[in-house]
Amino acid sequence: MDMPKTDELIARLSREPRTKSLSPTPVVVIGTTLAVLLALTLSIEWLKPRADLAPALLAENHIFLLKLIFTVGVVVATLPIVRDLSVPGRRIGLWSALAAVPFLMVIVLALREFAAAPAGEWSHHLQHASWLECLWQIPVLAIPAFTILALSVRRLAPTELPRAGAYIGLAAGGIGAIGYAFHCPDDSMAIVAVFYTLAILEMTLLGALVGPPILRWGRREIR
Amino acid sequence: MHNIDAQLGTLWEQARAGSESAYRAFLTALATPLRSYVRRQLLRYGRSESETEDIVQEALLAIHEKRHTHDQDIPITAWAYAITRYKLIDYLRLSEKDARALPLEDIEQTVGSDSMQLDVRLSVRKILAALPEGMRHPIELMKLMGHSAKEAATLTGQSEAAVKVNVHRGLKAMARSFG
Repeated sequence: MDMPKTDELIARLSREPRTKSLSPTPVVVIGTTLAVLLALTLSIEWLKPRADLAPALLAENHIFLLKLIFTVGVVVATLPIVRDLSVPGRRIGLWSALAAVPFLMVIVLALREFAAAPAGEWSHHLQHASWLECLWQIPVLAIPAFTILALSVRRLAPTELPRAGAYIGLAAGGIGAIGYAFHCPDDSMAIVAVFYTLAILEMTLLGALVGPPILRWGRREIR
Repeated sequence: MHNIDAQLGTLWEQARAGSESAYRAFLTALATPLRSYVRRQLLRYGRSESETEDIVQEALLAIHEKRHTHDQDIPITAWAYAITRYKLIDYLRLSEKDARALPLEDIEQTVGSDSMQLDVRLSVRKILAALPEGMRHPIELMKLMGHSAKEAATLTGQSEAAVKVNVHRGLKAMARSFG
């Protein structure tokens, strides 16, 4: 057999000590930027922005702004973890628990809202809410973002594929939710805390499941 | 051990700066501990040591192709071992799926015997067709059309190292499906 000997392989590889490939941070940043732009475009073209976008931006209850802070926060807190999971031998520190902070924030705000609202208003709100739309439209916005992010990370070297897939799903879910926030007509923190979170978790789960086959890199001998 | 870490670290930095000789020394020095690591792990999983060299080569190739993912603050050995471990697990998982593993020599002998040749050729074609493009193409070029590895590399756009690995891997996969 003309199995290449290890020495020959080394001799061949060593002719190219330099690499032109981008390092992990720019790869993740570029992928995320593209993913966000795509989710926003989809949201504007397909879902259409809410009619009262300008007043919502200035509304006294700041709920639209809080939605943006929450969703952007999820993405920003998750990206360093995605990046670190793309580098072999890099341990994910305790600070990765920061990814939970945006979720805790909306849960607290939702509980405050719940405590302040008159008894009837909450169920009234749920009945008229777009929560069902939220549960599928966020993932639809998030799936292209997931694809872009996963293909970016595949150019790096993730070694724990289900975990990397889950965090990419979390980031993509956050990106989908940013897009959805521009459309979402319901200004309720409870909706955000429950249904945005559920939609983002759907993407996280999906990411953990489809992550391994998509992220597997350097397989030269697939049968 | 610490000595080796530091030595490898220095070579790696010189390699990143563009030194071919440092890179060569780095890969050569790295191959030895990787080899004993892989051998230990194979034995631990009750596997044959004979697969060691395949896995070491795959790990070296992966280290080369993913060299842009090394962070300066991670020891180069920790990074290289993480890649090797990934390759090893991937290899074990893939080959475990196929309990009918057949040594490569068997298929070569079969192809060589006259009486069965036509039959065998037909099924070889069939099995070959099931391989992914990246492996099938170099095998066809080298084994059926008689091109050299270098020519096959130019024709497929793969590196010569990748062509050789692909052919080797492809034949092995074919041998397995043959059983």
